[in-house]
Amino acid sequence: MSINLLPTELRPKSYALKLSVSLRKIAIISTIVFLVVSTFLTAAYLLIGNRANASLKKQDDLKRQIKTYEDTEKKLVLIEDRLDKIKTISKSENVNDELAMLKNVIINSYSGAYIKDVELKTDKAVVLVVAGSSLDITNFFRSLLQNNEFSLVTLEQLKFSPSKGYEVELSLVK
Amino acid sequence: MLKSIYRRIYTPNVQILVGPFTVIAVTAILFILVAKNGYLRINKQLNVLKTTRATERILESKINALKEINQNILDKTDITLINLPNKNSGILMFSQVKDLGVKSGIQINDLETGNLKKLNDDISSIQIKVEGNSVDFASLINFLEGLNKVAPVANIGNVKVSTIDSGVLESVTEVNTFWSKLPTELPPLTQPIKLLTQEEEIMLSQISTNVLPNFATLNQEEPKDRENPFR
Repeated sequence: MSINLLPTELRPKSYALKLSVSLRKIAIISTIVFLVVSTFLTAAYLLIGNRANASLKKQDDLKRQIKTYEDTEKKLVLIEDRLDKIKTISKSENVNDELAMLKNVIINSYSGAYIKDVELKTDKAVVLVVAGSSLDITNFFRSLLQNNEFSLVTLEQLKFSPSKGYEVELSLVK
Repeated sequence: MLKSIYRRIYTPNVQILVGPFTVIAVTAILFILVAKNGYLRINKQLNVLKTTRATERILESKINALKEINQNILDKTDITLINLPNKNSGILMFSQVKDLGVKSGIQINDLETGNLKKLNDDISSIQIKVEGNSVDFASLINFLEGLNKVAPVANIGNVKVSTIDSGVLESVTEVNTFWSKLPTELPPLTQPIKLLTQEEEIMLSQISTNVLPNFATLNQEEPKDRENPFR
């Protein structure tokens, strides 16, 4: 049987002893947790770093490979650049629609009337039609209106003289 | 005095608790520091990995795309450049208008360039005024439609046609022709490659059928001995 020779006032109380035991256990557990977490974090850091480095190396290799295709890329960039600009040009103001309308009028128009003057503008086509009689003019209008090519047909001017016959100026919008 | 204060505070109860408590406190502080730092570093490293992987994927798809580009498309590089040259295309258009006039039966009376302007920051244009005579509307329409099918690309501005006394059609056509400087740099290596869309491929095949201008070609000659003019 062991005998504690320390005076009782120098001995820790039993509650302090119990608390000390608990604290020691907590200290050991927290140290273990700390070590495990630190090891895990270090391992994860190194692993991810390794993977990033490997990926960077692969990237360099891919970049070198792309360099060998530089001529192909240059050609493709040039083609795309030209096509993009040609698209812009084709969308710029022109008289293509008006030209199509004029072609249509000429192909389908009544033969008793003839087209004397034409002006193609970027927004409309102005046509001066000459006919010998009012019947010819009527037939011309009929042939024109059978055509669904136009969204608006405006009679700008109608003139008659015995020597020239009827002169009709029409403005056509697609 | 100090000794008695020390003894009063540092009692056996306290003495027995100080050790484990210090270990817990130090571990907690270290844990906080390591966890915070570790998290930040790992997060940073993860972001680096994410970025490099994304770049890697872009580069891989770029290489695959470059390998798979149709050679027929690349062969049309020169044609696109003739359709939209990098220098004033007025002279080329002059020649095209004259050729087209002959083919369509239009007698060209006068050709005049002017009205140099910019369609936008990259595209410049020059206007060619074409004065001509034709016997009927069919040949004039052929001529005008033909202007849309030549290289360099052109568009028709205004057209004025009047019938003169002899029944001949006198026309004044404004033709705009364009040019644009070449791209100066390739897109960054890490930028994904943009292949031609279907619409662009159709446009490419359309402009490939445009009538090319007649280029003057000079044949190579062997160097000759310089003649002595005093002999």
